[in-house]
Order: sequence, then structure tokens, then C-alpha cells
Amino acid sequence: MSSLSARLLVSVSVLLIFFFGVTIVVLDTAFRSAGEQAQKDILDGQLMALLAAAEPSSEGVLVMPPDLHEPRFGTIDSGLYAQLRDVGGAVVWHSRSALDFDMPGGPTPRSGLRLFQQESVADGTVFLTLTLAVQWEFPDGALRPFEFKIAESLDSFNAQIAQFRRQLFGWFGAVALIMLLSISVMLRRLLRPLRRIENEIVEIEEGDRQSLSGQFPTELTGVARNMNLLIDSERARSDRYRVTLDNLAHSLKTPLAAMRALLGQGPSGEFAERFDEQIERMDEIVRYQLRKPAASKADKFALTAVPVGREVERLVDGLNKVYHEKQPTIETNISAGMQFRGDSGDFLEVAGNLLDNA
Amino acid sequence: MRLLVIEDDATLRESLVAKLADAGFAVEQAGDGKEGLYFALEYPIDLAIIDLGLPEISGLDIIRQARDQGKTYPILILTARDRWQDKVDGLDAGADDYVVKPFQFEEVSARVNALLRRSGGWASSTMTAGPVSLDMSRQELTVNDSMIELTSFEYKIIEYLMIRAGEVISKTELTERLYDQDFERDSNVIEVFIGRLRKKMDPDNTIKPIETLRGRGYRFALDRGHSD
Repeated sequence: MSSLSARLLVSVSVLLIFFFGVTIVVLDTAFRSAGEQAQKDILDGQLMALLAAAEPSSEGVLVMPPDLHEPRFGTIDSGLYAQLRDVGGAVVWHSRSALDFDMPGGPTPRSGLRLFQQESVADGTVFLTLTLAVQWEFPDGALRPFEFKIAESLDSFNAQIAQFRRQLFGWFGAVALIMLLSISVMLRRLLRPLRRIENEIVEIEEGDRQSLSGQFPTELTGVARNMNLLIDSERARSDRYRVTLDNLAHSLKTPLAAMRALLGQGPSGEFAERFDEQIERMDEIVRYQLRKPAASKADKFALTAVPVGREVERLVDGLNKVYHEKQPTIETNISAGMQFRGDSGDFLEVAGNLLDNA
Repeated sequence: MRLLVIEDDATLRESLVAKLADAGFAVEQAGDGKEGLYFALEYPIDLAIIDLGLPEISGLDIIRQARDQGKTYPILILTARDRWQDKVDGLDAGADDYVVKPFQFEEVSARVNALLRRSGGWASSTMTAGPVSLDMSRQELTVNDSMIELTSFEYKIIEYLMIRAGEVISKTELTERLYDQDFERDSNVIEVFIGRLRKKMDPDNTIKPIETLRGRGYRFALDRGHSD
């Protein structure tokens, strides 16, 4: 992954998923626990109401009133069911709501203890049940054991939990998206100087600019300065190469010219001819070395945009001077602003040879 | 014709100067840019041969300064690098032609003659004015197609006057341009040479090629081109 923006966005996304995920789990657990506790408290309240409503009869059984305070006990399949069993497990009483309901038969707690359980019935519906075993004292002083059991469907509770989760994911998703968008916008703004450096480097490579402008944020000033130093040193190296070649040309070709001049002062003959041949060979070798292009692709930063029109005009002026007696007619048709990306010496070499040969 | 040679290589310079002197030119010489610039600006010269790679002041700077000072004489550059960049830089600075090292003297001589002719407005190597014709490459003067035998100084005088045909040339200028620095300058000698030239070119005094302007100098009086 080469883009800084992409790297940062992926990193931020991973962090957001992790932290938001943990937050969602914590919130969900807390909400569920609080909901379950509330369910238990409600169920406990319902049980207390049943106990309060139960009346011992002289026959030694507990009698429940036909109408209970909680209306859902009186509505068939309301989701809230109650049952009273005797010590043998036989159902002594059940609420009207449990007419077509088979109360799940879980374990019986010890007398005086409450037992909360989650139990399923045949159709898979999950219920929260509360079972309480009691020793009921009758007017005759006898203690008889009974078991109260209340079951409430968790469908509504589970639906609330699901709704809560949907909202949780929705909100956190939206927040994460807004955060990523904001970070993305912020990154574009923050990385703008880097993009400007990149564009300016491209301009330098294309010869439209000599160096990086000095107006960058503090963190990038050093980079820009070092980049400019690198570019300057590249150019200096290229210039040094050219100067070295100039010096080499001068220090080799001048003695060759002197030798030829001295040769011309002596008597002509086979020796002079052979000597002149050797001078010509040496001259050819030096010329070959000097004609190598001054700039190559590797010297990207040493390349400049050579204005073709201006250089050709100089060349034509020069040729008109040199070939004054031949009165050459040279017409140029060069689009305005045309540029040659490279070394002006290399361009003049190509154009000069072309025009000279013509 | 007085030439200036600025070349730092003593062997090459001396050889060039000797050959140019043999060819009939009065030659000044300088071995570095500083001395060369002095000659280029202060001496009366008709053409300068300047090496581009000079110590002290570069050949290009000498050319630029000479042109800036209004010097119009032709300049031939000697360049070690034969890249077009160097040639164009030289020509752009004000030079008129170039010779790439190592050169044959004949090439330099031909270009010097061509530049001198061009500076006088002559297009070909043979300058013709009426019945008088002067071939610079062969250093031959003919009048009515008859070859005229000339001494070296007589040739120098008629060549100078013909190149500057129509212009008034003072005795001082002729003395300066034709004598080497070391020679004793005597303007009476010029009069003697002019007299001899007139006798040789126009024994019957009919074509009157050289005009004397009292107190001002001499003028080659024939119109350029062939006579009808």
C-alpha cells in the first residue's frame, strides 16, 4: 500500500472497528443485564401479588381468586402465565392465560427459595420463569408445601434487545462513517503540501521550474531544502562534466592544432602526410568522445525546457553569418512555446547538424 | 591589413602569426585574454582571430566587449569543441565565422580573406572594379586582363584600397594597417608605393584607379563591378 492516505484511512478504520466493537459489546451487555434484572424484578412482583391473593381453604388447599390484579393473567396466551402445584406435582391452579399453555417443568427449589430460569417450550419460545416453593400454614396449624411458578415470554424483551442493537450499530456506523469522511477531508488538506512538492518536482523534471519554492509547512521545509540542494548538486555535476570536457577539448585539440601548424612549416612529403594522418586520427577520437550527449535520462534534474524557437533562431542567425556568401534561405515554422526537454547543447547539436547538412 | 591573433598556445600562435605574416598581413599577437582584450579595443585592426578558451578573460568575453565598444571588424573564432553550442555562442556574441581545431592553415587563410572581403562589401574572392581585378586567394592583380607584377607592399596597398573601395583612406591608416608594429613608420614610403602602383596599373593615366584627396588620403575610385 503506497498511499499515505490509504494507510492512514485503513489504520483508522481498524481502530474504529475495534474500539466501537468493544463499546457496542459493553453497552449491549449492560443493557441486556439491566433489562434482565428489570424482568426478574417484575416477575418477582407478580409472584408477590399471587402470594398475597392466595387464600387457604378449610379443605387444606390454596384458593386463588378468579380475577387477579394483573390483567395479563386473565387473557389467554398473553405471554404471562402462573401455576400453582401441590407437593405431588399436581396442578392445583393456573391462571386463565395458561389455559392452552404447557408450563415448562423445571426443577423445584428448596422451600423458601426463588429460582429464576430461562426455559423453552415445545415451539421454541423462551420464557423467563420464577419458581418459589413455600410451606403454607393453614388455619388448622398444618404446614403444607406448594410451588408457585410464573413464566413470562422473552419475545418482547428479545425484540427490545434486537431493536437496541440495531440502533447501536446504526449510530456507531454513522459516527464511524462521518469520522472517516472527516479524516479523509482532513488528510487531503494536510497532504496538500506533499502533493505540491510532487507537482513541483514533476515541473522541475519537465524543465518548467528551476527549484522547489520555499513555501512549505515547517515539517517539510527541510525536505524541500535538501531536495533543492540535491537538484543544485545534480546541475553542478552536469556543468562540471561540461567544463571538464571543454578543458579536455582545449588541452588536447590545441596541441594537435599546434602540431599540424608545425608540420605545415616543414617540408612536405610522406613523413608529413603520415604524421598528419595520425593527427587526424587523434582528432577523430577526441571529437567522438566530445560528441557524447551532455544530458542523459539519469540527469533528470539537470534537464531544462529548451525554447525551440529561440535556439533555432540563434542557430539560423549563426548559419546566415557563416554562409553569408551563399546567401542561404532558411524559413522556420515553429509553434509558439514549443519546448525541448533536455540539454540546450544537445538540442543545438541535433538541429545544427540538420540545418548544416541541409 | 592588420590582424590580431589571440591564442594562448605559444607554438600554435607563433606558427599562425608567421604564416599570416608570410601571406602578407601585419599581425599583432596576444597570449592571454587580458592582453588580447587590450589589443582588441585599443589597436587599429582589420580582423581578429580569437581562441575561445583563453586564460584571464575568455574569448567570448573579448568578443562581447569589443562589440560593445563599437568595434565592427570581422572576428574569426578558433574553437577546440566543435559542438554547435560553442559555435552558436561565439557567433551570437558577435563573431563572424569559426574554425575548429586542429585546422589546416589554408582553411584559416581562406576564411580570413573571405571575412575581409565581406567586411568591404565584396561577395566573391575576386574583386573587380572596371578593368581592374584582384584575386585575393591567388594574390593576383590584373588590369584589362593583363597580369600586373607587384611587390608585397604594393599588393598590400592595392588590396586594402580595393577592399575599402570608395572610402577615403588616410596615409596614417594605411601606415598603421600595412606595417608591422616594429617597422619604422614613414608616410613618404606610402606615397612612393602609390606612385609605383599608378604607374604599373595605369601607365597611360587613362583609368585613374587611385585618387589622391589632398590632406585627406587616397581612394580607390573605380566603381565596383565590370566596366561595359
